[in-house]
Amino acid sequence: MPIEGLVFTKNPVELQNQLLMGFISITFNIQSHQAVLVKAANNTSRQVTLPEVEFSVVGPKEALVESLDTNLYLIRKRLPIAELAVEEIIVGKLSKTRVAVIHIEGIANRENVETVIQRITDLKVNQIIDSSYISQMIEDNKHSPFPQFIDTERPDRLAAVLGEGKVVILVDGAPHGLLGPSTFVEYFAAFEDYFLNWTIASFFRLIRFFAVLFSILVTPIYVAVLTYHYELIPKDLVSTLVISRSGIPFPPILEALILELVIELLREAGARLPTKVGQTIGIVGGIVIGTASVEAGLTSNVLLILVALSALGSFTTPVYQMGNTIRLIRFPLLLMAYFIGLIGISISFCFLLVHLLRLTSLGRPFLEPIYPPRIYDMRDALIRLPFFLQAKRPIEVQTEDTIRLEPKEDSKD
Amino acid sequence: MAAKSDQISTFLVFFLIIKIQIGVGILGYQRIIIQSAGNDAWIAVIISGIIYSFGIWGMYKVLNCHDMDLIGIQKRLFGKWLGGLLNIIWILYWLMVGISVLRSYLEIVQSWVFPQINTWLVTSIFALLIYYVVLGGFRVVTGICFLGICIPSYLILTFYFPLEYTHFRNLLPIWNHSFQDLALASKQMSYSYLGVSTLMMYYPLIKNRKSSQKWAQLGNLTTVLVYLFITILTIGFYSEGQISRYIWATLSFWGIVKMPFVERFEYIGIATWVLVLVPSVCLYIWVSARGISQYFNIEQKKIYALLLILLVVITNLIKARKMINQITDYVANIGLIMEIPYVLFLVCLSTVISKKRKIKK
Amino acid sequence: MRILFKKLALILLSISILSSCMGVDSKVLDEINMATAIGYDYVDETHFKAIAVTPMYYPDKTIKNVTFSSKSSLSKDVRDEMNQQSERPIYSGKLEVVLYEKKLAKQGIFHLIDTLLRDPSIGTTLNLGIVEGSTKDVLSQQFGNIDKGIYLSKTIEQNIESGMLPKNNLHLFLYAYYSEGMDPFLPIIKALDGKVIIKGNAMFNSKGEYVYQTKSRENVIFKMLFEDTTNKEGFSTKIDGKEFASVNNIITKRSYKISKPMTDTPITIKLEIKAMLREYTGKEINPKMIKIIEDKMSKYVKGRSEDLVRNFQKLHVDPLGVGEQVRTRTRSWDKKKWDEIYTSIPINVEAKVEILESGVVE
Repeated sequence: MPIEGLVFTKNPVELQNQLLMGFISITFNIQSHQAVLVKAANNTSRQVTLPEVEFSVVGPKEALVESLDTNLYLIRKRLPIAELAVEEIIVGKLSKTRVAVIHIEGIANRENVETVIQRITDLKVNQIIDSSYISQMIEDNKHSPFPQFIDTERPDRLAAVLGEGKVVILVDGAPHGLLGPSTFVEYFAAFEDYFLNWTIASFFRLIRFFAVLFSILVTPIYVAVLTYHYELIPKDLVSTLVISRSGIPFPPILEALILELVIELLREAGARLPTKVGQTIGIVGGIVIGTASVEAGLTSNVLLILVALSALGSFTTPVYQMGNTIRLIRFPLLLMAYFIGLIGISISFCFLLVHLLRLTSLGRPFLEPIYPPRIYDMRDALIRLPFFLQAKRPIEVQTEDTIRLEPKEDSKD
Repeated sequence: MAAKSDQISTFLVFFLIIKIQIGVGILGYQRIIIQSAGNDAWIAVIISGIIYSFGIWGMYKVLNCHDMDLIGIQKRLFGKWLGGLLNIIWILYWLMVGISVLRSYLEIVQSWVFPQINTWLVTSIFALLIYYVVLGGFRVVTGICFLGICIPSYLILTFYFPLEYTHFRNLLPIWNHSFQDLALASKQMSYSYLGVSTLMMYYPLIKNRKSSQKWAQLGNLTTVLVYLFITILTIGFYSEGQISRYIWATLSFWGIVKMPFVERFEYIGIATWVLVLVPSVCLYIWVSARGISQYFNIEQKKIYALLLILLVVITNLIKARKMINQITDYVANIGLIMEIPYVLFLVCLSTVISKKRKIKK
Repeated sequence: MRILFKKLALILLSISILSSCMGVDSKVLDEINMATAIGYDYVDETHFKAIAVTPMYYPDKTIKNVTFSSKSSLSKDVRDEMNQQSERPIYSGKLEVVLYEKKLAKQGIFHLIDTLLRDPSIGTTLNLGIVEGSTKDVLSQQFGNIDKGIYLSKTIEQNIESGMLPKNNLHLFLYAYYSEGMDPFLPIIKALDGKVIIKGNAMFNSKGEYVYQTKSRENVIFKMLFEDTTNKEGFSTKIDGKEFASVNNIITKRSYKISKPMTDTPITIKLEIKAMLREYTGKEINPKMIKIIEDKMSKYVKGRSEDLVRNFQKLHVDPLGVGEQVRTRTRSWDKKKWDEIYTSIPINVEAKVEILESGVVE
């Protein structure tokens, strides 16, 4: 009977390690100090299922699972080439987690790959439970609320970015892979964009950017205008706003903070409860608390609409971590709007821009292609142009082989 | 010479030049030049634009000849003591321009939005913001300059509203003012273009510095076009007697804007102007810090804190409109001499010296 | 880690400082009284009475106006006195209309307008108006469930867009007032059983004193002479005997012909009017008839216009801006000389009416 994965070893440390990983050791002769290790581990892992976080209507419907080998297979299936290089590193004194750094030789920039490997091998930790541990530990700026690695559960997305020359990190036991270097605009590109016609995809992307801007700015602007700049409100809108606020005992800032916190509470409660109960909580909270607070005269209904819309806007970001960030950075803006009105919003927006300008992902500028301005990379940033116009790989990644599409031969028939 | 990671792409010079020329001055330069040259003020805008184009040419001539920044050039040309004195004058000048930009903005905020605002606090917030920018190095300074042009450029759309009230007949009859009037107006207009001299400090950080002149000239041209557009709009929008009443004529344009969701655009304009103002102050602070660090051999990062404290203190010591105007005029007059005649003098000096060296060889 | 902690502490500290001493006074929308209309009435030569109207919004969506009044000789004093009467501070940032009594306007209103100009919170799209009778009559009545200031400004704006008033607001008033060859004008309003009616335009001389009021027939003519317009209102003329024709939807184009500026040579204003026939009391419309109507109307417009311009010259006002037209055509502009010759220059009007459509019937 053929047995796969036989290992001969004399090294007692390896023997111990492998025994703990579910191998059987067979010793033929005590004097020879050699043992044969037979793989007998019963690997229980989840079946490959539908993606839940990044669901798309069209396109492949496979998601990563907790087993590294299955995940590697899912990627290799899409890139059956010899150049696909996988480097495995064991991290964690207690957990001994296998971390795989994947790239394509000849396309990916060596510097990027080495940076990632270096940073992972330098880690001195006890346990790695999930890929998010890795991403938090090896980010360029560990205090920034902005994620610097994209977290994805789609093997097709991983395969696609490998083709762009990026580096992928997979962690055993984590159903999410990391990819980098990433740029700010990438966090607003759903992978589904690539499955749709470019006009539609571009429209959706623009909507997402608008939603994010709206989500960050609308409550601060409401607070600033109602607290300091009543002159800005057109005459026909004044009565609507004044009537909606009449009888409300709180100043606009308090009103806005209360509502924003209520929305956060609802989201948090919904996330902690089982799916079905969570949905109910969302509906009950949204309708009952919202209407009741307006009727009780605690908040104005105009603000209720704005806050709900801005929450909705923050949920349109395809990458979950970025959505959280968007919700967080609204609060400093809100406070500054309360302190010095629109000028405060401008100042804090400046801070935000400078922060983004200073951020890097694997040493590459985070705000690219907006700054440094790279017209070529704009083709797949705020909008997505058709594939035939994207013949080169993004400059951001600094790939070794820049050509993605061979130029079409002149066919004049 | 400079770390490669600190270098910027050549075409970004375009944005740096525009950024330094379009600052707070654009909100209210019209009154002064229209008082001197009336409906011919737009000619003055072009004339001083051409003068600055010459200035930029001169700066490149000097810089390309020596291939180092102004501090080094002055040290080389004038020796340790005289060169050192000139270097200190330049550094003080840049710092003072940065301060007067911030102070003029605060003046606008005080008279339009918050009359009793605590200037100490606001300038401290601005100082923090600037500190955060300059610590990121020149790449970040350039980045904020770039974004500081791209994002506020939406304001150009708002000039559609005053267009409805513009009497273009007011431009006629062309050239009915004397040469003296036009020369005076051109001189006054030159104040608005000040700041190009910062080029002489960040020049070593440009990737293909020798070939970057076309971008600088294009930047200057764009500035001239923007000023020209606003000047023509102003001449048509206000009558001559009326403009003398408005200190910030560009801001008063926005009073006419009416949209279904917002009116009185001045307030939004003033708020957006933070994005226009912060980058130029950052650039001035960066330039003065670089000057100090090059001259005294101190690490650049250590100087910022001191400069920013100076910025906060001096900004708050200047009070009342009269004093602000006085200081702005003072600085502008010095700048005018240093940025054009002095630079041209440097051109002559360096060509003479380089020729002598050739003969010696 | 310690650095981060320090940073956080710094941020918290700065927030507490910021909130306490930013030195900015908040003007929360529902905690202020926004004056939407102000009226000035004549008391005696040095004093005036001011009336400010602020809207009160009730949760059941009704709007009632509250008026404050005070007597003074300085606008700022007026505001202080009004604030003493009010439970919330009064702000003028949403001012829509400012009205002046005709009697006050006769003395010149510019010193009253100056305060509007100086206050940055007042927009330049503000509408000004002159009231026949006292402004109190106009401002003390309620015009249904709408704020008075908004009602009045909408009435004026509606008449500017489609009616007989030329474009006008605070900015244009100042433009005309400050320009050397032009005099300002303002609409005249009168209270009329629970409504207001626009009576015409009040002409001001270069000192800003009211001198003349256009009659209702002159308004359309004045608008045509003043600016290139598309005007929904029209005019009618007697064709012959009992037959009348009237036109509307007028598109006018106006041009000046000044052969020798700053001299006594005649100035010609050319009017090209394209219109739609709205009403004709005669029997039949045919091309020949249309030609007759066009000729009659041209003559009518010419006559009326020249009368109006003569009148302006006699009163020494120049609301049409003939002076501006001359100024932009000459290099030897001299305001004093122009003032001397203005009254004696013959100004002719050439009018050409063209009827484009004659309605949906033949």
